[in-house]
Amino acid sequence: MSELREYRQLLRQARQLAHMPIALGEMHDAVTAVRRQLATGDTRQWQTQRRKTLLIMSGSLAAAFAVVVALFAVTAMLPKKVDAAEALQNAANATRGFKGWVHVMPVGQGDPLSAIKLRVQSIDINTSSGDFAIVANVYGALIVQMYSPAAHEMRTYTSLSGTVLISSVPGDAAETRRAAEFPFKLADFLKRITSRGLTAPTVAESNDQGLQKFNLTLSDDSKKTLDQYPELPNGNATLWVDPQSKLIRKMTSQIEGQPVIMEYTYGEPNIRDIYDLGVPKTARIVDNRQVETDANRPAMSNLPPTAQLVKDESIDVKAFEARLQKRIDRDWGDFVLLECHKTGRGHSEGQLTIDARQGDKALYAIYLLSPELALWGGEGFPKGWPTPMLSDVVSQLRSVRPLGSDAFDGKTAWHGDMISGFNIQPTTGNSASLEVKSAMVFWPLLAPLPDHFGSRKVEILRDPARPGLIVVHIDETSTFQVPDSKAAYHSDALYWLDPAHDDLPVETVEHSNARGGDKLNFLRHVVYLDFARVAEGRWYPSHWQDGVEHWQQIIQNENLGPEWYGDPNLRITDAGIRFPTTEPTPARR
Amino acid sequence: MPEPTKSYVMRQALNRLLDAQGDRLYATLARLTLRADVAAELFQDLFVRLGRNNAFAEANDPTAYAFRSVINLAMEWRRKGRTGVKPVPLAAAMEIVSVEPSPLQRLVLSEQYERLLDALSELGESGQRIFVMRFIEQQSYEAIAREIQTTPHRARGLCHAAVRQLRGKLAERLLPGNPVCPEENHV
Repeated sequence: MSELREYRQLLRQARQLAHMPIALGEMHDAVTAVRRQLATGDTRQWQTQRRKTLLIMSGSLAAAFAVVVALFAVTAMLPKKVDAAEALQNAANATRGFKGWVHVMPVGQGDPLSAIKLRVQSIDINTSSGDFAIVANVYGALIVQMYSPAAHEMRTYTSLSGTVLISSVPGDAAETRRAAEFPFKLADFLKRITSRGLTAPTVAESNDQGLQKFNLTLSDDSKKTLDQYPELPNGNATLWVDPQSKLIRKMTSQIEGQPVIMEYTYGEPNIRDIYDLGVPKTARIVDNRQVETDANRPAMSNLPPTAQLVKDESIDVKAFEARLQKRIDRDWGDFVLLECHKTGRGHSEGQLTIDARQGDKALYAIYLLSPELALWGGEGFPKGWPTPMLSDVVSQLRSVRPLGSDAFDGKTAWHGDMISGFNIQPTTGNSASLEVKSAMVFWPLLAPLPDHFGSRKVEILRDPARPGLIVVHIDETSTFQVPDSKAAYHSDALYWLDPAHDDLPVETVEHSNARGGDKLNFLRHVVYLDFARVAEGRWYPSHWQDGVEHWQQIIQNENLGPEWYGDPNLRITDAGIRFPTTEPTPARR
Repeated sequence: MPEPTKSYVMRQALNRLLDAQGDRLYATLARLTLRADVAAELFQDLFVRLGRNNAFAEANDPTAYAFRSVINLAMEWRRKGRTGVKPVPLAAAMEIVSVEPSPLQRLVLSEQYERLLDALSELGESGQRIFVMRFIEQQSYEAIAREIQTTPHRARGLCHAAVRQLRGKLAERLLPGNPVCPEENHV
């Protein structure tokens, strides 16, 4: 079952790719170019444009080389550049050495009217303790996050719900944090360029309103370091330094791809807690942390013993394969599938997936419930979580914006996600049906692979410790190669199937070499804890763990309203979000 | 009447392919490279290669042969680290990636596709072919079965295997170097 979530994500991306619009003009030009080429004669004499370009370029290389040599000779004689580089290095060292609170204000963020974008107001970093806080606007509402590594605690407040959520995750503002912290890493960055033998960046120094201004430009080979330092996307930056303290006071940067200037001040005020950042003390506290104990330790944490398994010749493999295939192929008719996922260690995060079919209509939608929905003013986990009634799900999520969704009303398909919006897809096919079908396959595939695609050996075993179950052992080697390895893909899987529950798996243990090499050191372990029946009587897994905990309901005698299969834009009202009428600003104490 | 030359026969075959499948072949290249300029260049390469290869003219199903070549060309380009190509210019990628999202959204989409396609380029040729036929070209199991000369049932199994392979490769990309222990199931 753990495969299903990945399948959905993977298939969804592939489907988006399949529906990606193609620029007709470009296509026409490409076809015309080849048509012209076809008309020119012997096909064996053709050269591609790339090869022609290379030939032309090779003729220009000598001249280009001469220019580069001349430039090098000239620039190497400019002493000011060396001084500027040293001055910048001194500033980088001084800034790295500062201990205490640093307050960062981004200036000049574009698109201030964008409701959905994160607009950062301030960032506070304690370079001694590692405490980090960010104050921003999301949906035009105040959001404050403060992370304390010593307490392993993250507090998030939003004025949308007036709630402070406590969790143990370090937060999701990683990109903004990286950008803000770059001045403290500049010394290491410059050192890395030197230690890797790369060409030193060009540094030009000037004076700007009493500050030293440095324009830093990376050489082409130094840009190789940018995979670790994406803060310099174009390989250049401008920094302003206080000539007395040698601390960096301003730097060009970017937030969410938009250019900004970060202004830095050092020292007071000290930030003691989230309330110092303007969070009202009356805010409701929701503690989302969980302590793992032996009692709530997931069942999938312990692998089952296998030494006692013995071969069972009494079951015909081909007949059993046919039996499972029949179950896989059987139609589920009209249904609504609700799958609740609970993730998070030391805290609680939840999502809900809806898969549904009604005649030729189909729907797939996934919702972030907690902490996201709670922070945006929704109710977080729906009533009855993790096995809510369909009517409660419908009433709570009908107007909520899903994280991602595919809908098909029998004629038109819509695809989209929370950020991009939901658009009509240029398709005549049922884009949601593949998703829905993949969600309903619970059994392992036993059919042999064709010879040229590898081999799948299947044997039936018996587990004396669980005599009522049929154990299927599948050893599969396919012709697909594992990355960075010449070894063929190899997996060795055991499935404990329960005939009393329509041969559904009770436990799955799969070892494979999916990480490369010959060793089967990639583990997938799923424990199915409970089963339920659909209205017509068939069993399905209703609760399982695979690192994430899942609860599933397949409902056959109820359905969603027609609005769920149609244009999501007509349904989504964002009614759960209480937009403030004016843009809030934090009141620092 | 003189017998037509080999070159003439080949050109006729290529013209037929261009007329009947040119748009589809280009679209597949554009989707597998995410670059209109690269797709145009590889499209040209495709016809050069086909024109130099008698196997194309002699193939039972020249269209299937051409599509196999398209996948190979695109995947070869990805595997070689897109040599000779500057970093993806967002403006160029945008045109074929999305309808009208913002630059950031385009970048996110583009990154997702890049990740998927890079992982796909690491599959064997059979896996790439099956995956592209089923999920990018959205062919039925019956059509895939006809093309690879097997049963629809087995074609379905092969698609399943290809997706599983791809999933493994994506997992490896996302979780490099993590220790393997029962507590860390990769879902």
